[in-house]
Amino acid sequence: MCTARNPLHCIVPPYMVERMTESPNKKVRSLALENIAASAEARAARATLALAPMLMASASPKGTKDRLIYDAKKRWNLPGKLVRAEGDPKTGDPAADEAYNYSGYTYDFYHKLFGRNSLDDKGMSLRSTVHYRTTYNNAFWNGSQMAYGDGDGIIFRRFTRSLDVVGHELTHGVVTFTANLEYHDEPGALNEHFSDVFGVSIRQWRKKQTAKQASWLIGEEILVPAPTRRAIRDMANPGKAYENDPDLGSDPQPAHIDDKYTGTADNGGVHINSGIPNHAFYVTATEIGGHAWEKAGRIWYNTLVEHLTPTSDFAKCARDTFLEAGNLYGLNSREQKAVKKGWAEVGITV
Amino acid sequence: MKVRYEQSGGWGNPLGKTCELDTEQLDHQDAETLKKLVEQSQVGRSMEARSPHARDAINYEITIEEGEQRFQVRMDDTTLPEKMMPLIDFLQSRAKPRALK
Repeated sequence: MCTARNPLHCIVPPYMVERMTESPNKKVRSLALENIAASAEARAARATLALAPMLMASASPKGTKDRLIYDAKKRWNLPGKLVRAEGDPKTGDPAADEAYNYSGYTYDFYHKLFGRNSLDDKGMSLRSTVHYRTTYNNAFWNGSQMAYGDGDGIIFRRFTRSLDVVGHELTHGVVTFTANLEYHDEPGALNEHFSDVFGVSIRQWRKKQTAKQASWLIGEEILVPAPTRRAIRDMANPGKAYENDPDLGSDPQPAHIDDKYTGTADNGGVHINSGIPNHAFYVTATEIGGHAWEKAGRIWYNTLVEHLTPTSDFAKCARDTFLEAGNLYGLNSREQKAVKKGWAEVGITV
Repeated sequence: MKVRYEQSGGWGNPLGKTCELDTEQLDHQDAETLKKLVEQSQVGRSMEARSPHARDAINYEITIEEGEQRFQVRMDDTTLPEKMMPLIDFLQSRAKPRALK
């Protein structure tokens, strides 16, 4: 008789467990996913995952929005215990409910504006784990799911508080399944850039703000307020998000290609040099006017999906956004000129 | 024993934090704590394990020198074993933010 807490931790062949991840029954899916995470085969799968994250993308049963929120209970195991599935009522846990709501808004943004069915455009389930580790000052995308820490309460608050942070992280999934920009140097900075662009755009879309009305700060809500810090990044003013902060130091983002970071930290500055294309997008969007997601966002989305490759650099992104603006709105259109101006402001000529 | 710690990436300052500790220069209690944490973390050889598909994970690099031996461990949030976390916590508490030169 099987006495394991999770009956799938008994002798159930892996092929059956994998099939069960597609079950229409939420409980069955959850148990199957826990099994995969816990089993010895998962350790081998993680090695494979390093090569092919798409293997772990589980399709939603109905091929539409499917959110699965897990609680790691301050431990290290992913995904943790399923606490809210698609259509379930609120849990009362702010972190779990924020992850549910904000991943839903992110799905809706991509679906309604760009016709995209989830991160992989095939209805991939959106898995988020909250309460990951103890006082964990970070959040990340691991190739197949999100993990959010609660922060230490000194520098950071829980990471699900910010819609732009959730949108940023899930957009890493979109990038993975489209251009798949390599995570180092300029391609990696573009990877971070697109996540910032759409993280901010999702927030502005929800608030119905124009580009000129809106805030261009990233991660404002996840910081414990202090006079020395306004946000994690500032697309309008790269390098000014925080200054002489005793815990964070000073914001190292450049706003111009001449000041590009050339060191080795942060995979060649992927979170540092993203300030350059971030500012180009901000200038483009405010120059065009109206809502950033409508024209600038569409130019950038089409560029990501149709033009960029894993090794694309800033110059290619600039050329492709310029060409795409011409494709969408005409040669020498106001929109195309705005893209040219945006890149010129950061020292990149198209 | 000398231990050099560097972290970068993630949602904090991407330049990260760094510190360099020498047990011969720490007070006795800290020196013993550091030695014990290194032993408990079971760092016995150089290793590099960073996921090519993680995004916004913090990168960790720990270099340990003792006598003739030198080990360097390079990991990220998705590959870091839980047994190393007490050592990371100790080092993080003594690390300072890095500045652009």
